[in-house]
Amino acid sequence: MKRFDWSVLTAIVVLAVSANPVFAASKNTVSAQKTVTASAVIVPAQVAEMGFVISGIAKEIPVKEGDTIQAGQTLMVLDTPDLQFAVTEAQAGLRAAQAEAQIRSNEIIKKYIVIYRRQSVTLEKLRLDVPHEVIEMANANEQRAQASVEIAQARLAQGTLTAPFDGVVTSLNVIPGEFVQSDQAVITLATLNALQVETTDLSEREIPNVQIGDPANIFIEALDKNISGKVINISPRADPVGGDVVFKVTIAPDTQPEGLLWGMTAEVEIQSGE
Amino acid sequence: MKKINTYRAERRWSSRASVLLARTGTESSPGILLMISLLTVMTLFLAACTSMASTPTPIPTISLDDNNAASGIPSSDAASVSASASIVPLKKAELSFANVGRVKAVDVRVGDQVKAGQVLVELDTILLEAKVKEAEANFALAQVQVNYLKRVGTDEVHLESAQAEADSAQALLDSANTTLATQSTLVAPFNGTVVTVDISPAETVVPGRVIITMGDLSRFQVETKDLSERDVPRVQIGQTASVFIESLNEEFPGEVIDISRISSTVGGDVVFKVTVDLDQQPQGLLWGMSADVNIEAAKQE
Repeated sequence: MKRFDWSVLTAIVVLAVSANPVFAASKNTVSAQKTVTASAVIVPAQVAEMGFVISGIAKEIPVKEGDTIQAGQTLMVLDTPDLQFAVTEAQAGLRAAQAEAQIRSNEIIKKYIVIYRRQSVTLEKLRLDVPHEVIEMANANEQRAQASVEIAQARLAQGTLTAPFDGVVTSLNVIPGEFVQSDQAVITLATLNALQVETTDLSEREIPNVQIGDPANIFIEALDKNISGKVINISPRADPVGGDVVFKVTIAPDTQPEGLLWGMTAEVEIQSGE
Repeated sequence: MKKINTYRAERRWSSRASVLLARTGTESSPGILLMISLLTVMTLFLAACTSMASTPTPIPTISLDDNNAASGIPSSDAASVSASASIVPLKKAELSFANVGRVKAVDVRVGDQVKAGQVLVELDTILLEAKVKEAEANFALAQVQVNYLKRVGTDEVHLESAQAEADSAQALLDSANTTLATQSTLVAPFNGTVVTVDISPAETVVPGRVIITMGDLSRFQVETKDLSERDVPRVQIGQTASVFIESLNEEFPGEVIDISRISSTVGGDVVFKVTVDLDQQPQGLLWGMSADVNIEAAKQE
């Protein structure tokens, strides 16, 4: 009997406590603090899917999947003997042009001396008597040869891929000896030390409640872990997903938990501060 | 509209009740089974309350059902034409390069405000710069030739020939400079907001592939998605329309400003795009939000 009384009492208390917030919430749909929930996925802050602007055969690939890369490190080199020879040729051309310019300027100096010794003339007259254009032309030729070297080097550089930022090689689609098409994505570099969370199904009906800077709770299913974060971006344009109109909201977690991987699913709860 | 709001509130209420049940259920230990059963009774009671609150009606499955209801009425009898629509900016652009190149820097992020002429993406320009240098050297050579001939004095024909060569070199130099200026950067065509960025440094660009979308998000209009060919003859430019924006849960007045001259097909139906300008720009409007448009159309004879 005593036990029964206790249960009834508990039930009444539970009813009173639980019923009140339910009623309050249903009456006032736009409550002071609203929680927006959505499914989300873990993505890197920066991803580059790199390729070449020229076609060729992959010669050297000094990295492998999973490698941590510093900005500027060489990732892949194409076998481009023609471009290499073009550089050698242009460099030879430059040396020839430099020698030519040197010879011409020596000749001119000699001529100056000869004329100067024979008759006393003004410097202006000297300039007019000697074909100084010869040296100007030789200089221009040298400049042109210099430009040719730069062009050949720039073409050769198109056969080398270097890392644009610090990151991890997340995919590598070719092996040495394989032919690579121009614009084929061959290597993916991502910053895995700064993973972010992107919502996948946050509906247009919820988006007016979300603002940049709003705090969010991120539940990562795979790790069974809750982490806090902050809304850092809201897509200015909706995407249609299966008949629904959704907006992508990006959340930066405050900490990077151990074991968090690109593509893991998460549930986010955004607390709107309105 | 009122009715739909009641459905939503009702659904929210009942879903909260069930969430409550689920939570309490998981937390309780087998020792207090009685409490669980009491709670179940309570939840059932709550559920009964909700169904008693209004007359039982089928739960709407999708948000477009009021539109379905409108199309259920023979269209020629209705005094107005309804359609679902979406919010689009007045000015929008999908930007791409006209040439192949490797990206050196991406200067903007999604959401950035940009000014007309601002550089958004830069390509690697080493090759183009070297080509400018080569053209400069060629021009200098031709110019020296002209100056020499002028100084020593020669016949008109030779001088003319040298001058023509110099002019040609000048043109090639201008061309190389223009290529460097125009092909190496992607600039904003108008003041607006960056909406998508589909490019990263060191990636390659190919002509025509859209890498940046931007729009002027200060001014939106409404475009219908499913206004049928049966309804379009009754729609005229200048007719007033009311636009209900679901996510803001508010209705706004507007005016028909354009009717597409060519149809498009949506799931087997022939539809025409009708553009409605909003009399005022509501706060919080975003590109792509759904809307229901009701046009005060003339009755068909």
